[in-house]
Amino acid sequence: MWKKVTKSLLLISLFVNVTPVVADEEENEAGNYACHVLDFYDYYSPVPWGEYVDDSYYETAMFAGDSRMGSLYLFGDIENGDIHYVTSLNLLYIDVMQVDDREDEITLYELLDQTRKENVYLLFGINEIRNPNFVAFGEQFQDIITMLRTNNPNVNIYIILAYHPDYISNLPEPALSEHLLDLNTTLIDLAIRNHVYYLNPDNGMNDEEGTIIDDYVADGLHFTYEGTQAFKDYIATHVVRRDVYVKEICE
Amino acid sequence: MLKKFVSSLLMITLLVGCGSSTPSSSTSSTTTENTTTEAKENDSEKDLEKVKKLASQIVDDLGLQESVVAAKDRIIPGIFFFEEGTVSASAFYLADKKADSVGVFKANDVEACKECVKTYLETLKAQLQTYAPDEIFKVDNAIVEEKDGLVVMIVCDDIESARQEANKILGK
Repeated sequence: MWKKVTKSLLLISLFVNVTPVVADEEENEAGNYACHVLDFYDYYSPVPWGEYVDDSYYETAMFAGDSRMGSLYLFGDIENGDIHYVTSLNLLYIDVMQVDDREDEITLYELLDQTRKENVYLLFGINEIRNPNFVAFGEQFQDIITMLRTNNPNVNIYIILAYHPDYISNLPEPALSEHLLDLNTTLIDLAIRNHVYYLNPDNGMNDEEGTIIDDYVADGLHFTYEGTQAFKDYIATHVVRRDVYVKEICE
Repeated sequence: MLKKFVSSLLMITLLVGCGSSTPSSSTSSTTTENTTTEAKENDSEKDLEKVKKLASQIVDDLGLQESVVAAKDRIIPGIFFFEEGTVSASAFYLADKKADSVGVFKANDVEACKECVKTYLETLKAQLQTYAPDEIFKVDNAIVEEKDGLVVMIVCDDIESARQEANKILGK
């Protein structure tokens, strides 16, 4: 019976282009059957739309990023939110630059090292957008993912892709679009390789020109109050329910 | 059936491993290559030691100890040199939310190195325009000097002292 179920699930996964990940394997005391925890989540795709989570969700989450994340801190109306940002952050300086709006001179790297939150959101890369490549950036990002996973193997990591700003100084189009593509490709690759989730705010927060909706940003990049509320709604409707994708199958 | 298949694979792996053993005639060339590689590594270590010492001296002489910290070696390529081989050794000090920075680089290609430093300064300036416009004058007056393949970059508010320091370090 269970064999049939397993086979059916594997078949379904093949059709929907999802390779199940054997997350865990165990045998019962008598050694009569083996249980496999299979993860059917499609790490190649952005987190799909889902039911709106209520504000209690934010108690389980930490948000870390550059000044774009600062909007969520300033205008997000999230009580007791664990939201941290560093203005003009270059990810390579994450263990040097101090977190904004704090007195203790702590770095974002230290906060990420300390956190044991169940869900961690990361928004980095816009200050490196003028770089000709994102190799060093990707390596540094990988180190952070590894650290989070080492400290808390069950952490759900959400990488937030860079939304397309209206304007970045000294980086006119089409270079801006090309660099964004390179950055987001690096981020998606990290998500796939590490089996972590990624959010793509361009799916829903962009206008017909393919850039962030004008009213959502004050200077072409940083969110207004309205933009922050839209960003918050986007996060709240793109949460992965692990119980939907992770199944324990015993045979 | 599966066991036989696995055994065959192991055998093939072992045979391939045996086949790649170096014949005696090529041993001497391998030894020469190893010696050359070791010599290059020693040179790189000396270069690294030298640039670190010089950068540290600049920081001390200009009284920047309070505002800058040494960057880890592995991040410097991701800040300045996105193509491999531009420099053989580098040391870099940076500040948090300020333009102050000191870099000393042993260049393999001086012009390419200076171009990378120029790009770094342009990027820094573009970021400061948004976050800290008061710091831009330091970048506009950044000192970038070179002699004998050694490139020195200093960004701070005491421009004249920085220029003198760069010349002193380079023996100009």
